[in-house]
Amino acid sequence: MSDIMDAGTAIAQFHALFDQRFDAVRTLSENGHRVAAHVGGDVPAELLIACGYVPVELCGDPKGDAETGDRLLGAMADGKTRSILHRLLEGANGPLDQLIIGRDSELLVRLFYIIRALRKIEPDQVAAVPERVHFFDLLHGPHRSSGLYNRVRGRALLKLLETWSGRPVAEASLRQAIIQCNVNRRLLQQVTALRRQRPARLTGADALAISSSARFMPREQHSLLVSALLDTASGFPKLDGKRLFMTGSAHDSLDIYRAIEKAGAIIVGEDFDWGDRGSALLVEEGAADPLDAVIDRYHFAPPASAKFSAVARARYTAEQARQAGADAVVCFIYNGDPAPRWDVPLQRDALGSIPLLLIDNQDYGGVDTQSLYDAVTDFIAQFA
Amino acid sequence: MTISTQPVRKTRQSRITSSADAYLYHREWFQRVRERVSAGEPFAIVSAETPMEIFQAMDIPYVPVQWWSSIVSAKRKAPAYLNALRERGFPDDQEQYFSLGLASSYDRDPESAPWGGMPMPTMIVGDPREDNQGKIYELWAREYGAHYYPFERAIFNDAPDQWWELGRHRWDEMIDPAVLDLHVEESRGLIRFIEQVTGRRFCETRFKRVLDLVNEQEEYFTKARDLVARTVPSPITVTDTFTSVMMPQWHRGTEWARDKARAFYEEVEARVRNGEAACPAEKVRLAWFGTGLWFNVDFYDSFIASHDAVFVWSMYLGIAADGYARYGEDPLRTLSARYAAFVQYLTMEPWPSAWYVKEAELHQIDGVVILGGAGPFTEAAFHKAGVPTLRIRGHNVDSRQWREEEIRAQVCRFIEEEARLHAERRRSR
Ligand code: SF4
Ligand code: SF4
Repeated sequence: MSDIMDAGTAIAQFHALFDQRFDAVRTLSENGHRVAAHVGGDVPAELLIACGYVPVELCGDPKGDAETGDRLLGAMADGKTRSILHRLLEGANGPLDQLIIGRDSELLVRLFYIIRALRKIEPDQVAAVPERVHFFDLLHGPHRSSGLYNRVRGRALLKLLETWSGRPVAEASLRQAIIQCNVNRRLLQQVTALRRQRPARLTGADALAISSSARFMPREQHSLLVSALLDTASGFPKLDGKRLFMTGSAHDSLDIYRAIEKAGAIIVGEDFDWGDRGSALLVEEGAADPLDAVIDRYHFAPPASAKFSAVARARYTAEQARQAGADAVVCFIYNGDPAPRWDVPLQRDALGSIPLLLIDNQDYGGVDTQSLYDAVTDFIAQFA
Repeated sequence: MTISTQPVRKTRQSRITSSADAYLYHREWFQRVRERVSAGEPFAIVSAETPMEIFQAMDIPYVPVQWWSSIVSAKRKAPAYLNALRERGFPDDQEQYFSLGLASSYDRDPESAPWGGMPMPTMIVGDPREDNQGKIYELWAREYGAHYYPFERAIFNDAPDQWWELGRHRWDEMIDPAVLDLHVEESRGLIRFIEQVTGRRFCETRFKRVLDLVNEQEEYFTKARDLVARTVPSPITVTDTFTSVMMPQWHRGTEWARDKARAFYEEVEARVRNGEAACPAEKVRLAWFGTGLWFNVDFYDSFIASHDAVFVWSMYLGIAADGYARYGEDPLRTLSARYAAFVQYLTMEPWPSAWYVKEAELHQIDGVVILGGAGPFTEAAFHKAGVPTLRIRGHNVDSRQWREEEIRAQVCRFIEEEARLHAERRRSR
């Protein structure tokens, strides 16, 4: 009996960590940590950790205000990016020493452009944004030239972090940071394995809380919590709902997962960063040049939607959905997220007999979870 | 080879006579391309910011995506094509400038497709910047069974603001070397890719000749831009520039294009010398911010009769004057200097706004009409410079939301209530 209790409390702990994500920077700073805030999963956590920072990935708040972000970015970005901009300008993340913006999507390029322009034209509007803002331009093109370019940007980022942190980075620290992040990814891969069991042993919402909370706390600490959780796995429930795989826009809150799983489905996998894609590829630990090994991991990570080939993306989604043993796929797309909609026809082809439910034009700050619940209920009722 | 039976659109009486035959040359060129391609020659679809000069040097005909979309729009095909796109499960309200190209590939009937339809491309070369553009190019190439070469695009953190002053000769001070190196590497890859796929050979002598012709051409456009800017009343309107500037720009690197640019400049110069104005009683000088209204080009001159208001500026002549000419020793690196930072000039604030305000002041503009999605900074920059702005809803190729009466009334009110006041202040100075 105690295992079930422990499992329940362990999972609840991750939900608590997830719910406190907006205070992560403050709490970590108060506990004497040096925080490196970043936007986008393409910013290599290994480099930040090697320089003595705790990486914290800033995210949007679907329940919070976003007027300044809406006004400045408008139709040029999705609700999440507008919310991130709003929170940055309002200082809602707490005091930031520096900010690194990745190029996961062109929406983040606009976020960077706006901050840079405000700095020159209306500096008082960016008083809460640190002086130190860096754009880390990681490319995902299919040619060797992108790989060469990414190495140049990787070295430049490391040098910049050395200046910001005020100390050079020993190669040993970088190798140690690589090991730390790999340990974490291996543990999260075990979480993925639990979801993929038949019946599944974790709900999608729980799994997302577990995997994404790594982005708001020290990686080693997160790994300890996950391994403790895995020790209680025998107490995990056996979940028999219809098995769904999530694709489309990336999610930075649990609301959509909760609404879908309330309809009696279990989300057994997804193809975006905060979920399975985030722990999909390890950094080569024995590499001659650890920095190149880190850059390779982010450059050759499996296809996201933004910027990647629709063919490669569709293949990846279908392959992951099959490996997860999904009965069907839900493609949920936020307004202003321009890429996923173009993957859908090829995703349907690649999925073959596995049906795909498209839910698009969703408003990041105001998803009608009731109609989402109804749509999913009708959808899963159609197949055995 | 079937001649398209579509009615030949009456080319509006342009004040620049050379633009009329530029249009005819282009049509004939397009027909010749169809013949060359059906005889088995290679053919490329390219995006506006990929190095067309490479194709020009290898004598491989190419069609720019943005031009093709403007033809599809001018032939009123956009609504039907965008519907076909939706029926195939793709969005019809995103990146229409690019998705129209993909959508047009579904219409293989030479009778209905604009200008008899796009010849079968050997390859599509795109510079995918937006998150979905690469996918649109990829899907488009798959429709034709063509190769797709995605020309990678880098972003850099900072650069001096007056890019138009450093661009010609001091681009290496302005563009981050890593960004330039990437563009050179992608250009080398593109040349090798074309050599392998088409068997065509690359002649360095001809390549340098192409680059010199482009610079010559752009210097004529710069002289024409400067002349139009300082001449009140304006000798021409934006409608006289669309064909006269765009056609040579699409054919840049040819003697024909260089000669057309010169003829354009000489005609503008002659009009100024003879005191010929687009609207002799010109009271208000307007600027059009955004891509041209290809389905409704007559819109621009329609305010002359009613308000003596002339659209003097649009970005085409301005960008030709400030964004293209590049001088340097290494031809491929100099060419890359033209394209490597192009996207950032026009989208990374404050570069675009600084340039737009410079152009508006140079052209003595009284009011700027903004189509669709300009960022908040552009309007703020115009207002800081005392130039009133009007934002109108709509898309330049997707005419489905265009409300003619409503928008005309908006522009008329804007002229009467705001631009006119600026004009009076300008004249009293
Ligand atoms: S060798 Fe001479 S004629 Fe032949 S392509 Fe080169 S420049 Fe032209
Ligand atoms: S819209 Fe009205 S004010 Fe403007 S030209 Fe037409 S009739 Fe005159």
